[in-house]
Amino acid sequence: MSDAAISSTQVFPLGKSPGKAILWSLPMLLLSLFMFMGAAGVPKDPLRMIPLLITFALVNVLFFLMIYTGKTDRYRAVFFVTMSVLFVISFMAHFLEARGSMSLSAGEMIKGRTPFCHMVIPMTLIPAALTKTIIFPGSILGPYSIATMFALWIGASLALGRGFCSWGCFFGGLEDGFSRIRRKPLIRKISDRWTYLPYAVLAAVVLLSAVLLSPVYCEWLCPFKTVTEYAQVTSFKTLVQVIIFTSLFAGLVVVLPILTRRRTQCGLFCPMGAFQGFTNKLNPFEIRIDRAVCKDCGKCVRECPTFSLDDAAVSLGGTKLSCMKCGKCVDGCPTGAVHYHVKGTAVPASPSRARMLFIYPAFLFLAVFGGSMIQDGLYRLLLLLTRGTMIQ
Amino acid sequence: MIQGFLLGLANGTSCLAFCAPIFLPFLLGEGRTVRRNIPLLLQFLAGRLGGYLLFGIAAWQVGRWIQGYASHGLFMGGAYLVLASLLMAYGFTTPKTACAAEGGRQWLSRITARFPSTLPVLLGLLTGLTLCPPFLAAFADASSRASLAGSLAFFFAFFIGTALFFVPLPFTGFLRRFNPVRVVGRLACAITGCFYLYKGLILFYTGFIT
Amino acid sequence: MNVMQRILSILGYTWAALCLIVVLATFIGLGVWPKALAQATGVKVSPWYSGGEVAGSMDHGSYQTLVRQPVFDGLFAQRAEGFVQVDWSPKEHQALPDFIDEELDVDGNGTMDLRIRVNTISGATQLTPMQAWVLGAEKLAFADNERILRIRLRNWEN
Repeated sequence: MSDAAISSTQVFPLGKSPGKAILWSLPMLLLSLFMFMGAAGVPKDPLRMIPLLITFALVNVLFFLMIYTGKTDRYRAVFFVTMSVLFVISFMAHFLEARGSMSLSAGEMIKGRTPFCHMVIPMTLIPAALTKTIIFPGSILGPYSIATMFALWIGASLALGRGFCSWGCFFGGLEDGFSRIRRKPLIRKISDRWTYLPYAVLAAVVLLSAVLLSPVYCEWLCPFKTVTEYAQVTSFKTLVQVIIFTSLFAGLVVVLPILTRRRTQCGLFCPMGAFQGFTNKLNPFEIRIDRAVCKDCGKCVRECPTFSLDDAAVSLGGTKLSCMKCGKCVDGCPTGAVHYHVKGTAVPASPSRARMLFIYPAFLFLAVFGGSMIQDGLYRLLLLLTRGTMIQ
Repeated sequence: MIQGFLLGLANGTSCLAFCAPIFLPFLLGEGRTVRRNIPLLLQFLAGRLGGYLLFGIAAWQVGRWIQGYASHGLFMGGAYLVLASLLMAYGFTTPKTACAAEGGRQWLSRITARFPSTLPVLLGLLTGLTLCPPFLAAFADASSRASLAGSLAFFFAFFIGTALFFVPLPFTGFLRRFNPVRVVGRLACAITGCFYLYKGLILFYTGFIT
Repeated sequence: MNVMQRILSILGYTWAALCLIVVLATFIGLGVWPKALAQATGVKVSPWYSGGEVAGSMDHGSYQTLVRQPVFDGLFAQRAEGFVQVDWSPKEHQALPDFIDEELDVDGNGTMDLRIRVNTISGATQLTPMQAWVLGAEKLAFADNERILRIRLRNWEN
């Protein structure tokens, strides 16, 4: 049997049958119908209805293609990148609508109007455990609230582990998109030492945040402040902070992903990603390598966006803790040795079944979580096209 | 002395919290066993004690004047800058034996090879001077003592009270079986150093212009 | 495949299948989980950000002055320095006066501790401490129609 045939058989034993692919995709169609339109129904305003229908179609076409072709990463990436881009548009529009500016004033922060994102979570845990307070200028309940994000994060961690970084994080799609611009990388080799930097950043920001009772990463190191909200520049300190944010964004989110074809912010810096890696232990899904079939070509090591594969890990038949389960290594493996796996089962034990069991919750999470961002982003773009402004 | 010891006990957790971002990554970065971490801890605490006793002498000699001076930006900023430089030099260098041919690049490795206690003692001294708010609070008490011996005894007792909370730290040696822990510890030191570099520069600048 | 392997396999697949239920439950229950989480943990926003609980208020007719509990919270113990937050809030359909001049009792002992003059339009403030532990004032913050000021304090209990 040829390598391509082996690869095809292992990931999709049903063969390329559109009918069977439709059958396997049908539950997603029904689930997405229920989740998108269940309570509120289809809106009557065309500017709201069109984005809903586009998003619904996008979800189901991409999922069908994922099932039909047996390829995971490329279709995941389409939705993931779209979600991140439209999230930025939607978020900026909301802020401009509410405040007329992307910057947050001290008064807004005191009033608890800073949106809470998942990146803060590791820094809040020690102070929350010891003082029963959350060190963040947000609200416990309400839109973009602390409790809502925690609830989403807990669900995502249990279902996906660090898969959240590839199937949920609305920042990750930006560098995922930039990393796909060039066909070949200009920088191929990055020292292994830097792959431990996220854990060092995690240790440093968690300890410093606990001592200072303020989220150090958000205040000083978050590159995504460049495309979301940031404190008003009213002092030398806030000026330095803005310079750091924009430099990190330009370097880690735009330039390095283009040059390396990797997600350098996620793999070499993000403390939330490092923290989320530990949730892989709570999750039944992982990527495994069938050593009997593996030819040690090293393609998976070269392709992994977050440096989660190296020769040592491949020889042991698995990935490092930082694996985001994006599927790029699975799709790219010429012999089908790399596959999704369910813990407790033999290696390999029906990779297609493991894959199906994974991509259903993963894609559903992506579709529902990201779907709302895509809808609102499209709505804002339609507003811009029809009324000349993104603000309602 | 009892009063100093009780004050140390009351504030020990704060001392530990402020020192942890420095000392914990350093312990991890050294990658030693639990047993071999104990001398490191003792050296660190010796540095802190040295700082406390120095201040004990100064407190008795010049009373409140030194407290005002100690909190002056130039002094505190300078101490932060030295601490930050040490942390960044430690964190961004790869641990290896210094070689004469390496020239200046391995200056820290050469010093620590010749004087192994240098780094933990210096870290202890600098964290004691810069990061310990309870220490500064104890200063006010010590400066009111009638004699030098009283002042030193007070600070020694305060030090013992706070040092008890550091006892569990050598047990991080259990983590050394995870190979990357050493690299993570060193890089975390460097990142913490960057943070204190900024703080030190601001304090130094503020002290310079006032 | 022996019995143990079979059991592990079944457990693994069951755990994997439950992940879909977890995702559905997360989104369907998003109206409920956050409230339950907040109630179960009892967490609040840190007073370093929220400004602390209201300790007292003064009615001035068209507006009220809210003086909050001084904030010295540390991780384990109180800090040597902190702040007290003062909010000036207009009543419904009213506006704050252009200038506010008040004396405030921060520690609740009946003695005035500071005097504050505020220009609610420009944001200029003038603080006159009446106690040694009143250190200074931060910039006046604007939030909707309110004005919020944080006054730095040394912890008098330390």
